[in-house]
Amino acid sequence: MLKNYLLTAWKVFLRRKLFTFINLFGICLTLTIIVVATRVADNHLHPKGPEKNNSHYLVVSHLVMTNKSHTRTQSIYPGFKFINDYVSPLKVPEIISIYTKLNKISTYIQGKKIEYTIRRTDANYWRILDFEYVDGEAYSQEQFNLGKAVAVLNQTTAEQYFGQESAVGKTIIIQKKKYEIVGVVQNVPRTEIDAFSDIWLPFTTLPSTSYRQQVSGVFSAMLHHSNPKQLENIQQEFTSRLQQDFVAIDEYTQAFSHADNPLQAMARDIFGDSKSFENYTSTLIIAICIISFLFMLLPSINMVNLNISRILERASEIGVRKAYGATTLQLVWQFIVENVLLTLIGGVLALLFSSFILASIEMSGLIPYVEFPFNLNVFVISLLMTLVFSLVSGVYPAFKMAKLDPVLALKGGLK
Amino acid sequence: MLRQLFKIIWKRKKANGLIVAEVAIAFIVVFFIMLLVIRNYNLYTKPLGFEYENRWNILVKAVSGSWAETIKESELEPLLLQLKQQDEIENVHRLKNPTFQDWSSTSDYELKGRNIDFMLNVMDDHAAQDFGLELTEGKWFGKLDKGLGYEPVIVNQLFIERYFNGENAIGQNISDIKSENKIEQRIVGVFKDFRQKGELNQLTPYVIYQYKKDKHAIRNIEIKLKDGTQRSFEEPLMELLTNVAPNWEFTITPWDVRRESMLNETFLPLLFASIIAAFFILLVALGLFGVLWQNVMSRAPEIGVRRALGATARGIHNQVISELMIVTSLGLLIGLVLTIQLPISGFIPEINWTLFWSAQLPASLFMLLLAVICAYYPGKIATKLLPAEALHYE
Repeated sequence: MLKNYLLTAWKVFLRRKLFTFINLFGICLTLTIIVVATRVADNHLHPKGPEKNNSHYLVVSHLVMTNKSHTRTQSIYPGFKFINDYVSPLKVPEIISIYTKLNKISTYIQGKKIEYTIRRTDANYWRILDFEYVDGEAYSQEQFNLGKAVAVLNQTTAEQYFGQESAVGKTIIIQKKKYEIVGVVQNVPRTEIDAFSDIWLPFTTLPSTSYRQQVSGVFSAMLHHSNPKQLENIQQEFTSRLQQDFVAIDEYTQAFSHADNPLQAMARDIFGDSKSFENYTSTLIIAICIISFLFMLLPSINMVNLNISRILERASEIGVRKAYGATTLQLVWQFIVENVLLTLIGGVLALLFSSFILASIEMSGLIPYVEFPFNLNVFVISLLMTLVFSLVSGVYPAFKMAKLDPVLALKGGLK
Repeated sequence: MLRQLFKIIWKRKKANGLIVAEVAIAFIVVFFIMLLVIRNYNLYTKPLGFEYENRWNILVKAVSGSWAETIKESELEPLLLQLKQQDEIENVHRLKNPTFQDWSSTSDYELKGRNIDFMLNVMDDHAAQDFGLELTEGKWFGKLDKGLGYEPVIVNQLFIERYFNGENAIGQNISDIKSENKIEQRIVGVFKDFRQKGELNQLTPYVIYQYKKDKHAIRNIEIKLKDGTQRSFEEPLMELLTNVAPNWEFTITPWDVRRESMLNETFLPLLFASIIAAFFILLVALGLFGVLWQNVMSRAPEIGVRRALGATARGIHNQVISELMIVTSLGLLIGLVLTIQLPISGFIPEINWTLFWSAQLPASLFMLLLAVICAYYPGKIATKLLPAEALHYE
């Protein structure tokens, strides 16, 4: 039966090529945009680089302090002192890493300006994040403790400085200070905000130790646990520590900070009230659902419109089928299969187009080292979206068609 | 005639209802794109108030990264002197919040019974002249204002227009009486404008304070270069800076480079949204065209009767087009009812009535034009239906 439906559908598509084209165009356009958005989001939530195990850690990267009456608020990045006092003593996390945010520095190699980014980290950083080493290895806990001037480079930077030679063991001068290169790692996509950098240095090599006294600064912390289920306990522990043990700094008596996973961080960034410990993930998911629904509305209405106006074309066919005893439900089923088939064709085209668009973003170098790999995850979500779209746009016309009065339909008229 | 058309449309209200909905949504898409384009164009064509060529920004940071620490003003002084001695550099200034960046300070408080809010900045003497600001009233602050018991400020024209109703404001005190610092802040001059964040940012009242060594910590050094200085001067400049202060980090960026990226930041997303919108509109146009074509075919008997009763080809053509125009207008009406909530509610303060109507009108015209284009060909087909053939259906 299904085979018959598909055959009929194919014949119908070919009969009026212009209408098939208009429908296909709409489906393609909508799905391409949705697939691109899905792949970008998937890349963000399930990175393929060093942050690939991001279900095992949380990140603390913001700090908000207010006075008692909430009339004065300071929204800052945490300094080393804040992390050392309130994050490091937490008991649930197995590994805690402290590292700085990115710092851009320009240098000139043979008169050419080269900008690179520096991140300063501790040794735990290399244990939590899963870097791929091309050469050598990361600096050890001992080197970090002693404040040894050592550096890890990414592949591109190593090649810029030393060409094809092995960089390990050579020295590099950063801000008038010599560093020995101990490791070279594969380039990290710019989208992995906590892992990305061109050069990594131990922060014990900073010229002064004044950073140890600062509540506000440029530091972040990563809290790791081998069991993802424990992450919630880490969040609770951190929240209660801030609520109970925060010691006022000047007039600022309350501190708000969060250990978030990528989804929570994104939700907080968009919807979050900075002065609260709430979780905004569900708000984000609802908002995404509403936006994608609104987004599909226009092409859906367009398709519904077109399909309804074409009912007449199929009137005689419907009449004959009904006269021979086809039920309304059977007809509905047939028309939905038709619509799903067309949407699937559109979906395949959309996958091709989206690959083309994303490949050109990757090639353009707009976002350094980024890659949007295609995986099962994306495929399933895209397929799901395709089906939702075909149902949204196909069910109403299918019912309308199937309900045609057989007598009228056979006569070929519709009033 | 019009009544007749409405009657026909009402008869087919279900099918037309869907078209109305489609037009309304498409209209809202076009409206928002227009709104953004017109807003940005209006802002772009207003004068910037300062010059950006041959001016570079040097951001100074302590190596540990945080800028809010350890650099003392006394340490910055020798660096500025060194810079001034360079042949390529005409002048060196301090500026609290740099240009063409999302880095600004705002302030709001009560002044003489009304709430004022403005963007503010701190500059040293002569900086305003060297940045190319234009004085319209009073004078710039300078050495003569020091030690007289007041703090001299200069404000932009919008500040005067908004908070002093355009009256002479020279000599007025604008300090916040409720703050602990009760020093008089006297307006000594009025300048045209200083749109610090660039062309695509809203016009705002602006106040510039005079730099004081013991009061302000400034991390942005702005240099005015002599005409014809090449970009390659960056390298020796960086060399000089790191030699004088090896414990600091510097970032050098020409103002025009920042301006470019600031413009792109607004322009690229807008371009991207416009491309998607254009595709959607194309889709809607194709859809309307297809629906209308089908409608004309299915209404052959009706058209046949009209032709048989003496309607001209032109009359039929006009009927098809007018019908779609009316349906489109209904869609526009719904779109208008929805979008008019924006200026009424004041949800986004930037959307005022002028901006609203200047986006509303072209968007509506565009949709009507689109309707005419979509109806033209199907209308033509309708005129080709021969009365006999058309009547044959019955």
